[in-house]
Amino acid sequence: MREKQLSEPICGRCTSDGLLMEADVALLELHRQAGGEDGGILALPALRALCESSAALGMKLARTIQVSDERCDHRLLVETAPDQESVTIRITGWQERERDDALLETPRFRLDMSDHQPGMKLQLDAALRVLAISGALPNTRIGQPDIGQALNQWAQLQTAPPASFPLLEAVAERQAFKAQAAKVNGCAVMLAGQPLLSGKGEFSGYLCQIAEASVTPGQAEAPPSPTQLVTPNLKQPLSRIIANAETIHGRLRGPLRENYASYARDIASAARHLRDLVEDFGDLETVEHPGFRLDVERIDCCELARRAAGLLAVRAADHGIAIQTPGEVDSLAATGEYKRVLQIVVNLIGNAVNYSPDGTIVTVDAAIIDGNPAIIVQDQGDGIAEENREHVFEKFERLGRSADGGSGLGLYISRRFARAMGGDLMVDGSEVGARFVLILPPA
Amino acid sequence: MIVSDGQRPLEHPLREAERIEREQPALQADLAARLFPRSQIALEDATVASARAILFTLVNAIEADLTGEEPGLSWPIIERSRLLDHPPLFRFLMAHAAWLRLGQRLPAPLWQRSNVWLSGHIDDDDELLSESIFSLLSARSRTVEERLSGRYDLPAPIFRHLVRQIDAALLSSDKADPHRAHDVATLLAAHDEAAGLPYLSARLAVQLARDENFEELRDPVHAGLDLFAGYLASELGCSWHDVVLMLGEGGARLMLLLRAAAFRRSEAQGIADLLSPTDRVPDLTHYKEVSKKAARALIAATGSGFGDA
Repeated sequence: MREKQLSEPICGRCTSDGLLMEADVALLELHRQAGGEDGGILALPALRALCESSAALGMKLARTIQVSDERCDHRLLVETAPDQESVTIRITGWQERERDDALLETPRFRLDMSDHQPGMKLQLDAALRVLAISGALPNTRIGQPDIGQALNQWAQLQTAPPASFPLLEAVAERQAFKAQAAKVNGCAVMLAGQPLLSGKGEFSGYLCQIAEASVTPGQAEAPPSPTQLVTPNLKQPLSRIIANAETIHGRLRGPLRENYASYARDIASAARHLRDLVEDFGDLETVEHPGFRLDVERIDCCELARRAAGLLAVRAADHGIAIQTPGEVDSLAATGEYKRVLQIVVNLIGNAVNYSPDGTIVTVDAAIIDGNPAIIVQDQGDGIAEENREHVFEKFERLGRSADGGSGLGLYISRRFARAMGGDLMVDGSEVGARFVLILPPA
Repeated sequence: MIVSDGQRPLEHPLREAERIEREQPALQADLAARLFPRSQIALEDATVASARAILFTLVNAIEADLTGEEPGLSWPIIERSRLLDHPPLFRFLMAHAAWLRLGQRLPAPLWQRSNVWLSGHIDDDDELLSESIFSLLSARSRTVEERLSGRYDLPAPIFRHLVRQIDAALLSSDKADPHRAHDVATLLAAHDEAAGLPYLSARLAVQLARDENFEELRDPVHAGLDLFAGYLASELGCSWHDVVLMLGEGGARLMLLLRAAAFRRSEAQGIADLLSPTDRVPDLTHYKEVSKKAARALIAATGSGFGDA
């Protein structure tokens, strides 16, 4: 290992989406050696991921990262500081280490990529250069990269909403990635990859699967819908209105006439209603989009039940309602998208808290039902009449309850999410209260 | 409402009794987790107590920064609602608890030697080295509360999670004032990982290693524990917090750490005796039989959730 003598930091600056704006000579040389162009996208994936993280978090980061050029690996001590439009880079330590290419050249290290999955597979080294290719895509315009060519020289990586590069984030964390959109000779492709470890246990690259993107070019580049544009811009001011109105209502800034305090409470309540509606309409558009799909993973129903209950514990306690959850050591594996399952269970518990008398108990449990894992939410309210049990899942169905501020979309959206994950959401008969059952596919 | 001696309103006995009854299942779950731990490694009461003290101090420090007032609103809400149920935070708490306990085993007076050694280099012609030394010495002189909370050593994503959850807790508190002394964005922008011990130690260790100060860097008393951990982290390619965790726990992982960094057996024995808990001093009988390469691979593969330096 060699230490580079740094008498002062090596500095640079890039835009928040990774365009190198300026750099000291040593950094610029490294960028060029890695295939980058002056003023182009920073060609050092780990450094670029760090800058993008710093911009996304709006925070100063300081990390040791590893980048590679044709000759060797470099371990850099890097500090980043974001401002409005750019990220400042400051390198305070620089070690160069010869790459152990012998390991990569050993024939047995080459992976057997001869399975029969469709599409093209690439084996990439730690610098994302192509080591081996198997298969080809039906679209001959896409062609194949050259051995030794950097992936980003062959395929132009595209951002995924919201402005992220799944591949770069994965490289920074040495994780698997999927749904990295890219263009090759103007054709849209999708990349997914699994990290590879060398015999020393060190990260040594990726086994990357390439497939043609299933959407038409027109769909891929469709502009965001009005709801997508409006939702985030509405939620923030609404949250501010709610916070300020609650401050006034709570007389936190001093005494206030009763009727004015009451107006403030009404404003907070109306704004909260409006914010919930905005969120529901955003979700509604998501579930009704033709290309809607969920990224499922292995989840723990008991952990999810406990977390959802925790989020609503304060609200329930205000009404003297206790939420019973599975024990700390309980566990029940299932398959689903964590965030969406949590959203469903929070919606179910929220409904249960809303429609239960004060001082009652809401039970959240996890169990196997007909061979499938399930999360069950049961309350001690009035329950749902048998003839209405399917209607509650219909769009805008309120069962005559109009005073609670709901949109009538929560259960409709929840069932759509559940079915998109291969499960279902049902309400069944119960002696006391309503009993909702969220079925999920087994892990 | 029953009011105590001018401090906080007391819970009405009827309410309190109802709440105690409601909490019985959770209490039983807590007991079950203590009686039948999922891990084969017993979690010491001292670690739990330290983690709780660290988290309490952290939450209060952040709340004070957000509100500009005496803290105390967010902690009860956080305790009730599991808002901070976040695995990377728990990993940090374990590592920081280990760090505090290491500090007790190697008391501050022993570090004077390190401070004297580092101060000797502070006028070095190498400005970057001087700056690094000055920064580390400044970090070592933080207040007791700052050292207990470890807030400056927090990786940015964990700090962000904490600030946002505490902000959420304050919003749900009926006594909270949303007109904060500092808003969340300002507080986040002010946090700087480069001011934390993990990065400062790793950075200085790399600079001192370049000038071949290996004898000092490989001695925890001479280098100081932080710099010693920084040297091991940069040498072995793993995170500073992971190194601290292994140094603090003693036993097999400490032995592997020392083996991976190519300490001779006699050196390793000295360090193990100095740093290990009395009941976890590793047995070094088979030290030389452990392959250095295998130890390095295992240490490098340590699954860090910190993402720090």
